[in-house]
Amino acid sequence: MQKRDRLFIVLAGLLTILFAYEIYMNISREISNRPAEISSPQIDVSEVLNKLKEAGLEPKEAKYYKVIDE
Amino acid sequence: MRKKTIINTIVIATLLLAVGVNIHERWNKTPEITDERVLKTFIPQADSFKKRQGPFLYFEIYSNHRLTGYAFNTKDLVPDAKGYSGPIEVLAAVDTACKITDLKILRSDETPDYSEDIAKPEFLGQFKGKGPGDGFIIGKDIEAVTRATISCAAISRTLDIAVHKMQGLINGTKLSEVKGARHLNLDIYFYITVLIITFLVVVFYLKMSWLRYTGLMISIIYFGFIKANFISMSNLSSIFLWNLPDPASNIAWYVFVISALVLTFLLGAFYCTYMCPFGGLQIFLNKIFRINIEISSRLAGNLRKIKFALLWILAMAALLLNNPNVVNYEPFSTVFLRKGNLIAWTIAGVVLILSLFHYRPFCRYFCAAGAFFEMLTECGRKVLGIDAKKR
Repeated sequence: MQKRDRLFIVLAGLLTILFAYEIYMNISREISNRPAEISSPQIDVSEVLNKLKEAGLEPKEAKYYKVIDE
Repeated sequence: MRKKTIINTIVIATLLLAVGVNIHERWNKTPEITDERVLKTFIPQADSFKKRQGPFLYFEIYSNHRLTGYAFNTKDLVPDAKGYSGPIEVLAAVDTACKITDLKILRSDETPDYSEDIAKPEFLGQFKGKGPGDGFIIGKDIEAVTRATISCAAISRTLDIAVHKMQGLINGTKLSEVKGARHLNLDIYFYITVLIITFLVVVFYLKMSWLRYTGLMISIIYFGFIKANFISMSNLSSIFLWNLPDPASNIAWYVFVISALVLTFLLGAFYCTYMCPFGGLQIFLNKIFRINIEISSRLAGNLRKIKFALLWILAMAALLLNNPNVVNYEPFSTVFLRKGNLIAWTIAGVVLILSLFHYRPFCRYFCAAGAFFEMLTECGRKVLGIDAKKR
């Protein structure tokens, strides 16, 4: 195998890893942003925000909320 | 059975399975919820909301036991509202005079590079205070986000129709009398696109290299840097998932995409060789140094398989997740929109530097959309029975 072939294999491998990472990030972003989580029936978001305010904190409205058990 | 036949069978079977999953998911899709919990975070100053179901779903907003306005999801009022890559849903609040008070993008399938900007208060804030009778024209009354004109126009048109419908409901006007008619918008971009594509077809038949380079330069400047029109995997996925922009106001985009597909089918590799702005950019970069580092044909053949593997993986991802944006990996938008994260800029940098020493590396080895166009060319050749050498 020629030297330039080896160089190309390294570059192609690097690019493929970068593409795979970019696609992985897109997919994980899509999965975490699924609309079902926006308005989960288990959360009363305004109540949570009020409680945080009462506790003296300054909550910022989040785009997504997730229920964590326990 | 030959190895190639086994691979083809697996590819076709898995794609059919993914199509089945996609159809099933669309069939059983639960509608986006616009309930009180969402509304409370959206309009925190309101005390309560009353759900109303007239000709469409909306909410009455109460503060101190007094009706202060209405809230609605634009999807319920303008179901056909579509941006660049599919439906756009906006949660809107209006006062009792139907003037917009609050806006929030609930859902959009636009490319993240665009959707992040259209959700910002700098753009949405321009609609506050607007109601029926006010101007909603992009470029005149509303300033669009750069290179996201289609998405901005879709939001503006949707809100214009929605406030008219809401006012019609409040005043008891028949919904058929309210604003909403659409006309085909043959704007300047439509004529420029038709002119450039006609010129490129002439260039294809004349087979003169200087004319080809002129055509490619025009493609890079106009389709690339000015309009950011290119066919990526996201675009192809949008087409196959039927997430298409509104034809009435985006006719230039339809001309570009349909010409690319039809001319590639009829003439073979037309899009990749004459229309693609990123392909053109790589060709010009390769001309700068005039040093072409060639690799062995065996390795080139093996590397070419990467783009077909990517095409299969990305088609599966788009079908299973029902979202064309997950397959956005190409450096097109990074280069032409000058937007992207560190990884995207690294990809663009490596590809463009490699183009200086090797002829069209991205097109030859990594472009999944290019792999699709190669298959389309082959399909056209077989259907039309034309010898590849005669094209």
